[in-house]
Amino acid sequence: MKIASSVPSGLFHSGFPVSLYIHVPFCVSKCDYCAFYSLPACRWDGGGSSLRTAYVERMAREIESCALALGRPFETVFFGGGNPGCLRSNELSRLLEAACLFGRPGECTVEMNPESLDMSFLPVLGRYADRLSMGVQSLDAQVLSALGRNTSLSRVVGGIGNAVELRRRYGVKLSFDLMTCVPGQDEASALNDIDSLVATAEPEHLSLYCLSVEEGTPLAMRAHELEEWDQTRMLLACWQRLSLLGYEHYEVSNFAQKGNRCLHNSRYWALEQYVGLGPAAAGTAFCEEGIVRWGCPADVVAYCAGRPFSGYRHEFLSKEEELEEYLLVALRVKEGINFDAFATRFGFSFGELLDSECLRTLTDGSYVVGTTSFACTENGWMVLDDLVLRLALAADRVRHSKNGDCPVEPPVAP
Amino acid sequence: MSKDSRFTRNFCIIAHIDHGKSTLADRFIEKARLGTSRGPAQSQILDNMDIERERGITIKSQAVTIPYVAADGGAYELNLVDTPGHVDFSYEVSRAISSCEGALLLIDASQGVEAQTLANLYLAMEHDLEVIPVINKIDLPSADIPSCLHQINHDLGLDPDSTVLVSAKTGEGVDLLFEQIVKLIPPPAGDVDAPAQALIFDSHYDPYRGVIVHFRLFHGSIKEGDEILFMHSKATHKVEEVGIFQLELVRTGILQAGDVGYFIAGIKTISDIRVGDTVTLVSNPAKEPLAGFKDVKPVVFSSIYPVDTNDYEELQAAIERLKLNDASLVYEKDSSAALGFGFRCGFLGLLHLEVVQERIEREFDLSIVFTSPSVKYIVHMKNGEVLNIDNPLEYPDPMRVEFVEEPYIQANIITPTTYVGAIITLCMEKRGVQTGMNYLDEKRVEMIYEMPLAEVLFEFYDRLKSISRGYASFDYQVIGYRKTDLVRMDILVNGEPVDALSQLVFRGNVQARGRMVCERLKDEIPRQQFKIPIQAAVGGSIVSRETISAFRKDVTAKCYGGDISRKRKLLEKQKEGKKRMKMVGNVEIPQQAFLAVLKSDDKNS
Ligand SMILES: Nc1nc2c(ncn2[C@@H]2O[C@H](COP(=O)(O)OP(=O)(O)O)[C@@H](O)[C@H]2O)c(=O)[nH]1
Ligand code: SF4
Ligand SMILES: [Mg+2]
Repeated sequence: MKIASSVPSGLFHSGFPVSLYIHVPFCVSKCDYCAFYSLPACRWDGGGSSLRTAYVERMAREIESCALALGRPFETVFFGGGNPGCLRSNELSRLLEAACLFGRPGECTVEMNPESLDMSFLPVLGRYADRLSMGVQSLDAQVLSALGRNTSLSRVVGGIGNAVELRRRYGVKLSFDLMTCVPGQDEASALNDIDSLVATAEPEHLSLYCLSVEEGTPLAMRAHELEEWDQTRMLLACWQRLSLLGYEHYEVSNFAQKGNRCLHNSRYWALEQYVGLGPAAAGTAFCEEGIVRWGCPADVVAYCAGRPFSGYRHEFLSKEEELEEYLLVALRVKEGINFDAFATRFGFSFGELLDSECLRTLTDGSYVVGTTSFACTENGWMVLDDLVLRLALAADRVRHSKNGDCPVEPPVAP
Repeated sequence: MSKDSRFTRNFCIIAHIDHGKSTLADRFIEKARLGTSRGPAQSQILDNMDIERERGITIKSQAVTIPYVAADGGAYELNLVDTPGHVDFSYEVSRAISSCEGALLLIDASQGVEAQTLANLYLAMEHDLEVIPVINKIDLPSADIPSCLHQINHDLGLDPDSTVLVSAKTGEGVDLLFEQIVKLIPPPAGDVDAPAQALIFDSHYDPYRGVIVHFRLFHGSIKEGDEILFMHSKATHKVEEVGIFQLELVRTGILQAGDVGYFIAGIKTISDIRVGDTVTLVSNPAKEPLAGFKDVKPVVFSSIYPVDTNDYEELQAAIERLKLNDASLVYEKDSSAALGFGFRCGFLGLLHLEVVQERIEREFDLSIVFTSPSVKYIVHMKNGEVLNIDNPLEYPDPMRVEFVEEPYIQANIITPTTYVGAIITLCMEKRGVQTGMNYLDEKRVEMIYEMPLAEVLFEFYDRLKSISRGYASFDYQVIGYRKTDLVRMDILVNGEPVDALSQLVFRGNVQARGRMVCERLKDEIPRQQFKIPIQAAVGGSIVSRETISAFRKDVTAKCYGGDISRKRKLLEKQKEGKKRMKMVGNVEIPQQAFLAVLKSDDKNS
C-alpha cells in the first residue's frame, strides 16, 4: 500500500489498459546519427557503484510501484533505449521481473544492439520476453561506418546469430531495425540488407527507417540527406521487396509477417494509455478531462540522484492538442482512423474534417475514404506530414465554426 | 503667464537620404541633455517605429522640443522636426516644413549635392524658410569640403559663408550650429492675442490615450479646457491635455503662438481629423483657416486583403488608425473573387506601400496581402466615355477601348559621369526620353528624362542604385498623361485565374513581365502534393509558363516515445505558417508571393 501510494496520481488511469515503456539511457558509444537521449559508456560505466547501478535501483522501485498500483499485468511492456543490452543480465532480469510482477503482459519486447546480445542474456530474455528488437541498421560495412556505428560487421552478424538461437531455444520472436537512405547507400545495398536479413534470420517483424540527418549530430557535420527523389525511389523499392517477401506494410516504417505486428507500438499509434519510465521517457495517461502527457527530463545523473518518481513532469493536453497527436499517430497505421472510434473520442464526425478546402489540397491517390475509416495509401504515407497538416487545419476550421465565430458579411467601408 | 516667443525657434532638418539627418538629431538631443535621463542613448532616437530602426531610414516626420541656453544667455526652446529623405515621403517633408521658420539643409561632405537635396531645398524656399547650409560628415577621410562649398554656391545658390561644418557622428561643430540656429532662424511671428489658428501636421493613435493631434500654433493660444473647432470638418471638441514633445509627451497645459506640440481631446471619430486642417477656438474663432497643405495625390494603387477573410473588420480598423498617422494614405472598399473583401489603397510609391504593409502587420498584428500595384490610367472608350482605371479588375473589354493614356513623370537624375552610359541604357529600356543634360561640374551630371510612371514603379530605383553603385540619385514629379498601348495580363495558377495578380502592362513589356511573374511565383509558392502550372496570359493566349513540381516525400522517419509532443509542436508551427497563406483554388499562395512579383529582377541588374 505504502509503495503504491508513491505513484503520482494521474500517472495512469487504472480503469483503462496500461502499457509500460522503460527507457534505458545507456549505449556503448554514440552513433553519429543519433538524436535520442542516451549516454556513451565512458559517461556511466565508472567502476563499482556506477550510474548504472543507481539507475537500476530506482527503476526497479518505480516499476514495482506501478505494477502494484495497477494490480494486474501490464497490457504490453517495452524496454527501449539507448541499448538495454548495456545492463548486466541480472540487472535486466530484475527490471523484467518487476514488470511481470502480476504475470506476463500481452507482449514483452526488449531492444538490444547486436554487439550486446551475448549468450548470458538468453535465459533472462527467454524467461520474460517474447520479442527481441535488434538495431541492426545495415549489413553493409560501408553503410555501418557511414552511420558511425562503432561496431564491426562480424559482430553484427554474430549478434543476429545469437538472436536466432534465442528464438530457437525460447520461441522469442525477432524484429530487426534497418536504416535506408543513408548518404552513400544505394538501392542495391538497401535491398541486399533486406534480402540477407530475411535469408539468415527470417524475422517475424522488420522496421525500415529512412535516415533523417538531425541537426546537432556528428553526421550532420559531414553529410546531407539524400535528395527527395532518391529517397522516394529507395523507399518504394524496399517497400516492394518486403511485400514480395511476405511482410505486411502495416505502419509507415513497420512490416510484419501475419499475426506479428508489434502490439505495444500499435497501442502507442492509437494514442492509448501507457506509462513511460526513465530519463527522457514520456507516457500518455487518461484523466477526466482528456489526456496527460507524462515525461521525465533527459538527465540520467538527476534521475539516479532522485527519489522514485521525483522529477517527472506532466502537461494536460487540450482536446485540440489530443486531436493533433491522434492525427499524427493514427494515420501512420494501415487501417487509419476508424470513424466510430474517432467520434467516440472527439465528439464529432471525422467526415467534418474532409471539407472541400481540405480535400482540394490532397492528391487523389494518397488516401482512401471507406465506409468505416479513413486511411493513407503508401503514396499518402510518403507525404504524411502534409496530409496531417491539412487535416489539422481542417480541424481548426471545424472548431471555429462550432464556436460560432463564423465569418459575417463585412461592413461597408467609408 | 504668457511666454516670450522671441525665445522659440522652429526648424527642420532636410537632406538627401543618408546624409545624416537622424544622426544629427541625436546629437542635438544629447547636447540638450535630453537623452541622458534615459540611460545610454539609443541611436536615431526619433526613429521610434520598429521599421525605421531596422531599416535605418526615417519614414515619419517626428518632432521634439529641445531646451537650449545660448551664448547670449537666453533660454531658448528649439523645436526640431526630423524628416524622411526617400522620394516617396516628400509629402512628410512638406508637412514638416509648413510648421517651421527655418531649415538646416544637410549635405554629406563626401557625396555633395544630390537629387533630394535640390528637391527639398525647393520645398523649403516655397515656404520662405530660412535655410542654413550644413556640411555633415566632415570626419570622413573622403570629405571634400571645398567641392561642397562650391556646389552650395553654384548649384544651390546659397551663401557658402553662412555654411556650418559639422560631424553628426563626433559632435564636432554642433555647438556652433546651435548658435547659428538661434541667430539666423527668425522666431515665430504669430500674434498671441489673435484668434487661435493651429495647423494640424500629424496625428497618431495611442491605445491608452486615444487620438493625439500634433500641431503648430500660428496665432493665439490653446489651453486645457478650451472648446476647439476643426475648421474643415466643423467638428468641435474639448481639449483635455496640451503639451510638447520631449521624446515622451510632456504636459504643459497651454501652448501659444509659435509653439509646436500636441493636444488630446477625447476624439472618437477618426474622420474628424484631417492633417492640414486648422484648429481654432469655438469662443473666438479665426476668420479663415491657414493655407494647409496641398492634397497629396497617390500615384500607386493596390488592394489590401486580409489573409484570413475573418479579419476584414480588424483590417478596416487598422487602416483607419494608420490613416491618422499617415495622412497620405487613401483607401476605399474593394473585393476580389480570389481574396474576398479588402481595400483599394493609394500610395505615394512602392516604398510607401511596403511601409504600410509592415506597419499593418506589426502594429496591428494582421496578416495581409497586396495585389499588383498600378498607376492610374485614363481609358477613352469608343462611345466617348472616359474612365479612370487603376484597378486591373475594372479594365474594360479591349474591343470597346479607343485608346489609353498613362501618367508620365519628369525624372531628375544626378550621377557621377562614369555611369552616364549605363543610366541612358536603363532609361531607354524604361521608355524614357531625354530632355536635358547639365554638367554640374567635371565629375557630375544632372540628367532629365520624361518617362512613364509605371516604368519607375517596377524595379527602376533599385536598378539605378545598383548600376551606379549607389551614387546616382533620383527625384521625380508627375507631368501629365500620354497615349500608350495597354493590355491586361492575367495570371493563372493551376489553371485558375488569380484576379489579384492581374496587371495592366505596356504591350511591349508583356513577354518580359510575364516571364518574371511566373518565375517569381515559382520560387515563392511552396510545392504541394500535386504539380502546379503557373501561366501568364493576355486575352486567350499564354505568354509565359512555369511549373512547380509536386513533392514526393515529406514523412519523417521515426515517431515514437516522447517524440510525439515535439512533433505536435512542429505541426502547430507549420499550421501558423499555412495560415499566412492565401488559398486560391486549391493552391496556397504565400503572402510574400504577392509582393515578390513586384520586386526588381536581380538577374537583370
Ligand atoms: N562618418 C560619419 N558618418 C555619419 C555622420 N552622420 C551620419 N553618419 C552615418 O550616415 C548614415 C546615415 O545617417 P542617418 O542619420 O540615418 O541619415 P538620414 O537618412 O539622413 O536620417 C548612418 O550610417 C550614420 O551613422 C557623420 O558625421 N560622420
Ligand atoms: S545505439 Fe541507438 S540510442 Fe545508442 S547511440 Fe546508437 S542510435 Fe543512439
Ligand atoms: Mg533618418
